[in-house]
Amino acid sequence: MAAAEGASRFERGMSAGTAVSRLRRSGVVLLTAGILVAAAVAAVLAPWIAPADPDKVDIANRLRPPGWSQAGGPVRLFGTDQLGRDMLSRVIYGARVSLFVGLMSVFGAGGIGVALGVIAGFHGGRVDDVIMRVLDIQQSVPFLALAIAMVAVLGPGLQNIIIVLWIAGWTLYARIVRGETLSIREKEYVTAARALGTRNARILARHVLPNILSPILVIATFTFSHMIITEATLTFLGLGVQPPTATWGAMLSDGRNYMQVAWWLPTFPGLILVLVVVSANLLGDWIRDVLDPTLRQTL
Amino acid sequence: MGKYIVRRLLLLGVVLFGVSTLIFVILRLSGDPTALFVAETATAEDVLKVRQAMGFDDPLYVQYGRFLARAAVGDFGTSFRFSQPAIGIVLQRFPATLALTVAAIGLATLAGIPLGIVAALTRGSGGDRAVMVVTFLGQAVPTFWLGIMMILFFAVELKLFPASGGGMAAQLVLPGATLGIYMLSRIARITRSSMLEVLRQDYIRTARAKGLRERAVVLRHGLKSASISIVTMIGFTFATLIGGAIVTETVFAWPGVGRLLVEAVYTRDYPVVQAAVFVTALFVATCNLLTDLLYAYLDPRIRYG
Repeated sequence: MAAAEGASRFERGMSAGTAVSRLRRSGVVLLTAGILVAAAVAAVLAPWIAPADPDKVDIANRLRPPGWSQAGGPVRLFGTDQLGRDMLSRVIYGARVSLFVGLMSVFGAGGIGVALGVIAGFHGGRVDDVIMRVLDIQQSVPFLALAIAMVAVLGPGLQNIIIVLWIAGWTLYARIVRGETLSIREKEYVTAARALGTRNARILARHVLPNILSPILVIATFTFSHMIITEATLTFLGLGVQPPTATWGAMLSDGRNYMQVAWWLPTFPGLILVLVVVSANLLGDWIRDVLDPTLRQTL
Repeated sequence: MGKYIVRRLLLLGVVLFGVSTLIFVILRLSGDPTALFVAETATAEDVLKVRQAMGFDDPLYVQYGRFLARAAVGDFGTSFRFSQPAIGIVLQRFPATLALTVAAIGLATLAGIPLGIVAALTRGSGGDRAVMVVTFLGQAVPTFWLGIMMILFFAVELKLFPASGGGMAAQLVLPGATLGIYMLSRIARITRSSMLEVLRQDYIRTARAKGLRERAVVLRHGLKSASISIVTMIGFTFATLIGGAIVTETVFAWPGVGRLLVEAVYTRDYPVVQAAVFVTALFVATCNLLTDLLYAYLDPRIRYG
């Protein structure tokens, strides 16, 4: 029964076969997926594919333009920064932090949000009221202001940024998952399972969770890019990952001070960041349309 | 309508109570909030003195009650940096933030609605696709990078506008545009989809059939009907602009609440952080309230529902 319900949800979008064929047809989707895979590969293989040590200072060759090369040395495709560090290598290493924070935040915020959303939707009553009021209150504070206030207390750094993004980012998951759970709770197969004496934990595991996986996946795709931007923004503001770690946000922050003489410093990390974010959003659009077009109004 | 307004005002009170509680909870995320109110070089004796002076050694419920009583009158303590009440400093900066957000929304509305209408009227054309691509990018590009690129192009290369500062109208152009582009994209998209929906209606066909000029059909009948969802979206997005303003103000050195908040974190001026978060939340809640009221005014089904 649960499988049938899962199938019916999937059919709200399209069948798996249609989805695959549309994926093949859609060059844009393939391109965006390719960009994300390339970024992930670059992040994982950074020590092997980066042309130079990202932290190696070379003051004699600071602020060299893109394409510059020293006699006999490698070409600096993205130029060098204010300390003579290779920009391309720093951009590649920056992908590690961004993608890691994006993934960890999605898992953490998703875990908290899904758990609270399921509890609120399944139990209803006072538990639901409390969770929803907390959610309403948190959403009335702008996401970035909330994140900054928490960083002010916890301090900057990679670990704290991830914790902040968990705490600040669970609300969207909880709101949507609660709505989905409320709807599934009233289905006949859940009533039947209850009548047969099935325990709540089993109903949640067998009937509820499998049927809310699609919206969770869709939200995860969208929040992934949002989390990457938030990390870069906090780091740009000096409140995120601290130097000398190469991150896109930090490179943009440093580059801003030299942009009058070295346009490439803020341009390349920003372009790569935009490319990854736009790709994730486009892929998110596609996944939403395939899995759950009813979320179009929400996401 | 009167009952509806009273109900929404009560809800605003509940939200502000909740936000105060949230700020209280955040303050205790680190375990001992005393550390936020003393210098990093403070001795254990200094920390103990501050803890007693600020009442952090009292039971938590006593601290919570005291915090709420102070928050109710806007007392978040005295700024370490300015030696003035934190709330006063935040309110001094608020007009600059308001000017920035109003400029952004003005630009977004003036450009976004026509773009959305044109895209809807030329659905499927190259122009429509161009609008969709631009608005998609407008929503995806991070504000701080867009701001840097704006400075690089319009201030450094073309020298058309000043790159930073506040006070003159010319200094508002680049930050206003940076902040407005995200909203412009959203307005153009919602206008397009609302107009597409409205233009399919029978009364539009009737208006055309009776020989009304296309401009009158689109603006007087189409846009008027589509305006409910557009106005609602503008209201709710206006509230979210305050988040973007934090970044935009920092990039352009605009002297608003957002920049103050970031500076307060740098200087560990936690009373100002608390006051700034409270004021931004109050701004968001008020915008949402006004939008709800406007929505109820435009759509009687809401206020009588």
